[in-house]
Amino acid sequence: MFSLKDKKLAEEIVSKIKKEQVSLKFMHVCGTHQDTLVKHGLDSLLKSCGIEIGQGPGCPVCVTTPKEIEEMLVLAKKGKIVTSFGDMMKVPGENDSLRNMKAEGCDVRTVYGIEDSVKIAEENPKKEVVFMAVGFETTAPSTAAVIKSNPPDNFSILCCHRTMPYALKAVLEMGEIKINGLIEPGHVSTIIGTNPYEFLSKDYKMPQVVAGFEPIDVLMACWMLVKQIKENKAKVENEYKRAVHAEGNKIAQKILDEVFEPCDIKWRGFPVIKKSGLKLRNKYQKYDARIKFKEDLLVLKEKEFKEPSGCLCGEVLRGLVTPSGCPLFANKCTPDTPVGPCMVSAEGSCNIEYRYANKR
Amino acid sequence: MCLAIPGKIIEISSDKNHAMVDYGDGTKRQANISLVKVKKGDYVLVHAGFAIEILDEDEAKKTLELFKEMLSMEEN
Repeated sequence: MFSLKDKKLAEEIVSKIKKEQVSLKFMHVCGTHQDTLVKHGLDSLLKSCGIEIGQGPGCPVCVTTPKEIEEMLVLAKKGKIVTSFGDMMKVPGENDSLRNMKAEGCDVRTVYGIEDSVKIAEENPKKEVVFMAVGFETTAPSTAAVIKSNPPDNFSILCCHRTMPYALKAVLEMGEIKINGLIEPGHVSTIIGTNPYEFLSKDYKMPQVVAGFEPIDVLMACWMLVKQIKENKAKVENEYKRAVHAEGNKIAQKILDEVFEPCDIKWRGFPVIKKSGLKLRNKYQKYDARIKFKEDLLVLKEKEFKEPSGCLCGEVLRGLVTPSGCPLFANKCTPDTPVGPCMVSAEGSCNIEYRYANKR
Repeated sequence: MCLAIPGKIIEISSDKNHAMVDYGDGTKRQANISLVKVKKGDYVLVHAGFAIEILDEDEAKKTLELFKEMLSMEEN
């Protein structure tokens, strides 16, 4: 169950880590890292070296709140063409999911990216088309680029974009679990670079490594963290230099700043996290579905939004519980009958654990 | 969601904002290139239909060498 492109190098890294005889807990915040860890059996291998490694709030679909899901369902019920990435379709709301709404005759469509959604708006000029804009800094520039390109007036977005650095700060501030090092998400970092993580090393003495997604990348990132800890250092290192520069993608950053401003936003499993969301600047408000369809969304105004009964997605996202530690895992909650979003999304740690469980 | 797939730019479209990307497994698909300054032949990471960064082949080779160096340095 251990496959690698350069097995010898991997074995060398593992033997180095083993020699250090550590007992450490690392957190990463990316579903693709989790996939690499579980698919290649690296999580159990690292555990045997004294390193526990788990996924924090690093799955955009998973951290989307029940309120945002209900907003989308209301818009679908009100006759808009609702578009989103495939992973959003099965996330259960209180009584329904977008997939169910589709079965009931609502016009709900899966798209590969926001440009597909604009195309649908162009092809249906008499209908309103709403794109559920989820995703971290990796995805938000595509939304910004499209909004700036003057899409048709019957197109709008339900903005659910979130940004990573202040969410990481929230995890550290909450202090519910002791984390000895952070593996930072490679593709978020292609956009923001490595500089926005610096304050976490400075203020919280947190060792950090930005990592790529091959098994060797993740193992090397762990080794780099172990080395920092052994040398009593806390800095941001970049293991993924083939794609990530310290200053990030400046074109993407510029367009993000032109179109969005930071906002406070709630994450599933977390309270409101300051400056961890993005909202459209006033200039682009005509594309904001929450403003455009304010009347339709009034039904949600007084509503209380609850997590699904028994679901521990919040605890999983805060790194307190592993997927198999949830009583619903693999019995009541499966990818076909998901209770919470971590079982729906291919980036969710419950879904990943379920998919590879039999192959371990 | 943050999955990004590497591919090679094989043709830039006349609007200059899109390019045909070859993913090397027989899949070719258009991607928006407005977030990167690319030329034909460049390798890019594509996420949700947008090229988000250029992949640096030299840096990839250097990284591997650096890993090996770091590991052997530890021996001494």
